[in-house]
Amino acid sequence: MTRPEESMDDFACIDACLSGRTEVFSVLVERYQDRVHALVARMISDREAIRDVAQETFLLAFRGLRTFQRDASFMTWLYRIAFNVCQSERRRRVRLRRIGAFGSGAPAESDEDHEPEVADRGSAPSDRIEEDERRELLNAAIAELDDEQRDILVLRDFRSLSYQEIAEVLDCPVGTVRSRLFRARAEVRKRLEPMLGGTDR
Amino acid sequence: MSESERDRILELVSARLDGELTAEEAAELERALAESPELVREAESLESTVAWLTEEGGRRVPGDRAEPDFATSVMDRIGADESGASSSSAPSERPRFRFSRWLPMVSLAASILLAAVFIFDATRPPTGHFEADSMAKDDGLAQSEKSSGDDGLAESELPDEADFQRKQAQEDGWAASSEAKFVNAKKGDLADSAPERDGLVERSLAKNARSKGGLSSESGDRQIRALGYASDAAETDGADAAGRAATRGRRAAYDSEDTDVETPSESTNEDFEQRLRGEPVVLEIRLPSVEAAENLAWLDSWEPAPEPSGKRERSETRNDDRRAPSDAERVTEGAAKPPAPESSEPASSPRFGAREASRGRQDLGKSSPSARSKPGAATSKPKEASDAVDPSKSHATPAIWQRDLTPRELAQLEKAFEARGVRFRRVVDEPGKKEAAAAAGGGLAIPTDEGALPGAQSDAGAPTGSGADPLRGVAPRPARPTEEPTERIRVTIRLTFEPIEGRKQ
Repeated sequence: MTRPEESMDDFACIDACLSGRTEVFSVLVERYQDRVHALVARMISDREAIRDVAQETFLLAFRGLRTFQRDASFMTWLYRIAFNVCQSERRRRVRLRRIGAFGSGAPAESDEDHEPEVADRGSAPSDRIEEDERRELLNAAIAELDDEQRDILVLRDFRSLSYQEIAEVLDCPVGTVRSRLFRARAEVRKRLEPMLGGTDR
Repeated sequence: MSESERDRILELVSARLDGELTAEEAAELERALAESPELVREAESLESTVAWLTEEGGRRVPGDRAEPDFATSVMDRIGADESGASSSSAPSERPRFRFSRWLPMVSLAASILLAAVFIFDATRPPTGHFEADSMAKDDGLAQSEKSSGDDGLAESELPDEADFQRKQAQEDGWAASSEAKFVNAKKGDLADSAPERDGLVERSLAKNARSKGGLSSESGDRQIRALGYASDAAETDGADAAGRAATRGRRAAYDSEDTDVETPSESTNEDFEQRLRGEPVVLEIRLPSVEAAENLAWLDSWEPAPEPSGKRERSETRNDDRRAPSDAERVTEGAAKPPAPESSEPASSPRFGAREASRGRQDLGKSSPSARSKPGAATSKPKEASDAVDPSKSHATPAIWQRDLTPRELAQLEKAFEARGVRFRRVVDEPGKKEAAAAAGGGLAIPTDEGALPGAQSDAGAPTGSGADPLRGVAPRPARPTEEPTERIRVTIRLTFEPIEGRKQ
């Protein structure tokens, strides 16, 4: 059973929220919650933090609805909020790690939590091993990138945002997005060179 | 191909993979790839990397999907946020939560600050310096808002404070005269003062006051300190006093460099205190010569101005004389009067110049038995008197004028001196000190507008002033009490003659 609000576009939902129908915001939450989670999950390694960051993203979006300028899509605006919340979370974790609160010496952006689901791939065991090795190497290469390069890779290669959208999220020119994206990709290519040499298409 | 050019071509390759290449850039890329097989290989390597990244991006990672109740939980938090009933951990409550944390801390800090201020205020010794600072004006004149009257004596509104400061000044040996305070203040030179717990004025401030006041550079530390006190208060036209700071101003010594001759700071200070108590006051008038005494003829006819009706009530006087004495009564017959401070000396003549001239000459040179029966007669034989003067010393005569005055009348008399440019000083009527001072001829000068102490005496008694007319000067005026005493004071006037050497300067 669908609610009538679910057929409303983003701007209509926003108008409804601003007019007092707060419950309409749940439509926007349901519409973008997975995308926000996917973005946050690529930027934050801590599983526990992903939900909190995503939740705070929507709360901030709700509080800032009146400031939303409709020259960009709601999704881009939401991504930008999520991106900023992720950065804040990263900085907070870095500070905690610096003062030893985190202890254990685990890497900040360890991808140990990002073990992909490997079930049901339908490929041969040998191919699966090679694929797992490549993925492991790829994730290691991504993890070694600095935040700026990793974020732009996430936004483009993982979330498929256009250059313009990325520019809006990162609040930078499109030309910068293009050059920064190229450097990130070149860096990953450099780290994957041995594997690329053997498996180059 | 240069490195930068190669990177630029590869950047175009990256953009082409994302579909973000313009037609011109695509044509340029095609040309570059056609010309360089190495670039083609690098472009293929980059394409493989992007493909892997895209493939990896399509994979699921833990937490990349929202939990089923996520939207509900978000809406619950939004509802709580709007109702203001959410927990303190809710993001919406963070600002309020932080404020509530800071509020008690700010309150505590404010309380500590207030307590510190009160403690500081309570432990600070009472001093008039602070008030004096605030009262000082740019033109050098300051007025106390709380003083009243025209010519009275300054009185601290806080007797305890005044006593405290008096004791401090006396203990330090730097008692000062209100005259210097007055003069200094009149000159408009107020020094910044600083709180002093030991009752001493900071040397630097006093130096500043001295330099501004133009006082003699020969002044020593005593003068510096005294002037430091003096600089704390300022008066306008001698009429109003600088309230609380006046208590320190009383300690300002106007003749502090003559420390070897007498203890002017002590005597003048005591003089002031005694004056407040209605004890006898001696006014010593400094004259350049005996001839100059004729300028005092007006004393014969001087009468104090009537006091305001509210102050007409006279208190007991020492000799029960409640009215202004007549000329005849002005005769200070030692037998007829109660023992005056100068009772060891003969009384002055009923009219100015009659007996005093005779006595003065006798004292000075014992060569002029004649006396001026009238002021005009003073010109008859001044020469011989002056000739008899020891040129190396100044001389004081016995009393030439004596009356019982209220402090108000005394102030009027001083004003009269001041108006006529007659320099005078009040001295304590202590025979020993008086005689010592008179013998040394020092400590009689008063700072003048010239900025120096024209009559400042060396040990030899020679004035060190810059040749200014000794009769010119600014008569010091003490600060005025808030409650004017009405008790009569025995006021004696005697003359002191400048040494001849000093006159020549």
